[in-house]
Amino acid sequence: MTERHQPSQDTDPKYSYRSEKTLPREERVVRFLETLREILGAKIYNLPLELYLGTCAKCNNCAEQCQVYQTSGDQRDLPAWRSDLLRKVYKKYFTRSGKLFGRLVGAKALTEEDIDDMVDAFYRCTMCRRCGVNCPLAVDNALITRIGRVLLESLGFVPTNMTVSTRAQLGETGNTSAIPKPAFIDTLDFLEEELKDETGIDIPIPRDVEGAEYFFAAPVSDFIMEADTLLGIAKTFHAAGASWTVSTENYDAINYGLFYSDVVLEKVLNRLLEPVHRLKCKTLVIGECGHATKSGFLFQKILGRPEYRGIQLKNIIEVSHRFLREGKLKLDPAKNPGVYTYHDPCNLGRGAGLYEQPRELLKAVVQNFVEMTPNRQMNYCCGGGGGLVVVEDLHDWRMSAGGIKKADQIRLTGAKYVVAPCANCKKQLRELVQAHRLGVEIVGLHDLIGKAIVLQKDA
Amino acid sequence: MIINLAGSLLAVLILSLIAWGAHGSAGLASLFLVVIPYGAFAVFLAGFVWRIVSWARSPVPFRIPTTCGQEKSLPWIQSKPLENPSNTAGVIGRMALEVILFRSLFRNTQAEIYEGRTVYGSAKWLWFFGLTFHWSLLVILVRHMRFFVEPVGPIISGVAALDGFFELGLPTFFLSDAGILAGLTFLFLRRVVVPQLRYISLFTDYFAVLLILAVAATGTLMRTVFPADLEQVKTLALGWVSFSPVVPSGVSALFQTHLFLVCALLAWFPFSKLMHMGGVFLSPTRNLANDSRMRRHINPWNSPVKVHTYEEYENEFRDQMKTAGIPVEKE
Repeated sequence: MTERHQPSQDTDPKYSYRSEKTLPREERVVRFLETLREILGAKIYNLPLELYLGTCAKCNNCAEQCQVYQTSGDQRDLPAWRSDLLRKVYKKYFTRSGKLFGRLVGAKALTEEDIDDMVDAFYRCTMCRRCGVNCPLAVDNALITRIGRVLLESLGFVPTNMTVSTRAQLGETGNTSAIPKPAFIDTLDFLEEELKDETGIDIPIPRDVEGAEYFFAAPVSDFIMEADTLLGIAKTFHAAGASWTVSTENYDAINYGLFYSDVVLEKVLNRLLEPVHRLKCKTLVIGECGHATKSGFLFQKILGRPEYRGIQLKNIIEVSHRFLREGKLKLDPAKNPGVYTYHDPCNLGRGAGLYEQPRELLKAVVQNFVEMTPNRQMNYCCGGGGGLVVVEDLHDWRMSAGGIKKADQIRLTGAKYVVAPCANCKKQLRELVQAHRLGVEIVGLHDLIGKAIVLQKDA
Repeated sequence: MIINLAGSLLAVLILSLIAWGAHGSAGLASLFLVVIPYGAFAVFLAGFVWRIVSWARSPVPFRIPTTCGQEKSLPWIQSKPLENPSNTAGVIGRMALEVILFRSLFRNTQAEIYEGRTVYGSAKWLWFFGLTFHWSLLVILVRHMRFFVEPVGPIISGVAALDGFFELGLPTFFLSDAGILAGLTFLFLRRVVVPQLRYISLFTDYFAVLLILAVAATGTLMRTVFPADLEQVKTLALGWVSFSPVVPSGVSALFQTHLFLVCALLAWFPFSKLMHMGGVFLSPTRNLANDSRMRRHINPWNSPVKVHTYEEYENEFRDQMKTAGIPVEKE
């Protein structure tokens, strides 16, 4: 598991866990503006910067929707204020009115203290987009947060837990948890044995099968922490008689680039698509993981290499749901007694629009299902979104400002089990359950399918 | 914070006093009644077009719409085309819902602790007053068109008739006047009373609402308490639109103030957050369909990128590579 960061000499003492090889204080302002100029020159984020920052009516409706602000009451958590940090700078240096009228139009020269504020504020946003859904002008504060993080990265401000993971992923082992290939194969063998012990049938986890229809990639942490989810997925594929495979080369769907860097996003995404293309698989199926799903869905056709654009992308929920509707799964809801509720992961809901499939699946495998309030597009974030869940030093913040609303919401459902098909949410929710003594259990959707599924012995 | 509020109040007052003070001076009449209106309108038009064109020309290399409902997938899963559109028709519908009915503000929920339990209710005040203000403004704009055309068309008189449907008072008091004043008062009080809103408010935020409030107040006063000479006003307005401006002699100080404030609003409009009037249509989070898995998003006005692919590179250097013993893909 991730360790708390030990401050070293390269880091800014004030934000030790969020920085490595940080620029000296006096050089930051210049570098920040250089990077912003570069970004504007590349014409990627001009519209969000000009339009979002230019049309925001400051109605503060975002604050009413922000679970972090509603809990903390801290000015730094006002979404409009956070976005304003960037707006001031943009106006001051890149617009005529800002140069002419300065503070009168909200432009302000950048100072080192402003940068401190940004390091604080941009890593207190879970990028859940709940405010974006409610914004009359469709200002996407999560995107502003991301642009802010990209800028801060150029100064050396990134949570080390994220960079350590991406470095491992882009390095030799090719995955964020730095599991070497032999260990991974061992894990697959172990999972197969588990399946045999549990069901008495041989359920293979096919490896590197050329021409398989479904290429499955889970967030690699599932292989360490969520064995039940993977067992459920293997059973589902087996029961449906689908041809599927995992890769023993690139088996990690996690993409932290989504949270702070376009370069990393592009590299990791192509790394993931490469074996799908090589093995000539038709569909890339992403496991129970929100941000991997979103980064794949949204950016595969834009950032993926031309030869990878023909690959179909699906979340495992969509695939299982299709099997269910095609009558390929025999499910026995009596295997899952108790009351279940469903947590919409932000990246699957507000990011990808998967609301109904998981619910239909869930209703088919459990006896008692209750909705959370609010749910679907208005659901609260688990409190660890935007990559914050990997930052161990933010644990206390995640349990308080980030997650109290969620804990309260779960408590009110009266459910015994919370289903969250996202590795990020699962980890945060488990910590929440512990910290707030909620007395509920966090499970994945496919854990339940795995339990409820009725397999034919002769298969 | 308080300085922003006081400053913008002062700015609006000064603007009003300038116009009021200049009233009665024959030399300044043509300035205030002809030159400034033309200038302000020109600035408004040019600025508005410039802002919209510059926004519309900005590339959107990504497609990241918010998905507020089930996405379109397999035919037997009911999707929500207005909350999560997958094609242009859906986008138009979603945009129309937003612009006409403020769909997103209608979503507002509020959590409250009630007898030790969190209760989720809906919070519709901002939606209600926001909608009231914007619709009233539109109706008032349409009503004002009667000064600019002769004869007055059925749409304009129809709107005016509907607006004065209850025939309260004489001359008829318009509902939209009440609506705009109520809406703006709510928006202003909210900004002043709610601490976090005060915290994020800049000079321009107060100025916008106070300026429009001043325009609406002077207009309503002219309608109800100190009637303006409508014949003179119409002569003036027709003079503008026919490009043969005349300076009528008998307009009141109140009218001149009203007009000058409108001119200030017009001239400032393109440089302010009020540009959300045009910008709301351009936000890529709402005006793009959620179809990133169906087709590749290509920004039609992307500048062409010069690429040198590996294939071309190899073609160029194949012989040298072979001599140097570097493996090549094609022999």
